[in-house]
Amino acid sequence: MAANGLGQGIIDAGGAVIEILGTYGFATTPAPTHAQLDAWVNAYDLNISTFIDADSAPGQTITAFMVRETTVIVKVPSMQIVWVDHGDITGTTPSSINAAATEMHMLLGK
Amino acid sequence: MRSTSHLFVAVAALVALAGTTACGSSKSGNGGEGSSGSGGLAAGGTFEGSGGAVVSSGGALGMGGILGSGGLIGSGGLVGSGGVLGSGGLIGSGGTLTGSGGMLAGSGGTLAGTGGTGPSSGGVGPGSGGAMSTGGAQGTGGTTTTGSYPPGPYGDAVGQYLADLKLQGYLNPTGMGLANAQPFVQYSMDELRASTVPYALVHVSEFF
Repeated sequence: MAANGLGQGIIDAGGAVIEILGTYGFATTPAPTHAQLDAWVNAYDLNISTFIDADSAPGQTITAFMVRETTVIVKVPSMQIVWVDHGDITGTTPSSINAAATEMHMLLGK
Repeated sequence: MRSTSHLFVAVAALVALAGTTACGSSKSGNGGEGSSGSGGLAAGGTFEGSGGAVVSSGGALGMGGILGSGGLIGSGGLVGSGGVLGSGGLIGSGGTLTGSGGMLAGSGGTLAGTGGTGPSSGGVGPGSGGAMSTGGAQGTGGTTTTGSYPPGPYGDAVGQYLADLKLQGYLNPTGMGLANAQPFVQYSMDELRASTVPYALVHVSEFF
């Protein structure tokens, strides 16, 4: 689940939203492709910044976050993690995005 | 009579000389007078003819003779007809652009007209100079210098640092329009760090 709907509110409040397509088809390898990124953007009408791993570093994102549906909030420019949530990967409970958006608005004061 | 004839010839010669002298001039006069003469030395008969304007009536001189036709003065000098008025020179063709970034000094043009033989007015062009430069565009500044990326420890726990992930895709910081309407670019967490936002939300997704 992407942060599309909630993302715009965070941007408007002065924060940044970065979506990374870490996996495709429930498989950690191979890393998602450019075409799969486009399909994802088009499927959900994503208007926020969306990325995949660079060709030079395939799989690095899922390795760093351990599991998909993870959301972190980092303080810029220190890049220190101030909030984290590993969401539900079964899809039966709300995405970690919801709680992260609430936290972002609190941090941004808006 | 013989001596009188000699005197007459002498006078005629002087008059003729005067006419010749007059012919040599071509700088002034209004023209016209020369038309009264209808003869010339050749048509004037003999010098010994009777009369003559100076001495008596008739005779070559009396018919106008050299003096009469000698109105070359009267036919106008070149001054009267004027020369070709100065056709003007080329007006200054403008100056030379010399400035960069705002100062442009036109040197003007000063070509003098050559005109004809008359009183050429010449063409002294004032020289309009060139257009003033507006200078260059202001720089938009560069990226913020934030030093090197934090050394870690990297991880996914609070208090740790997010690794400098190397990514590619669509950067759309304003959220305006579909993401893939933006250029496909290389991006990294180091570039995110250089932005002006105080906090960033990073989410890892799955798609199937």
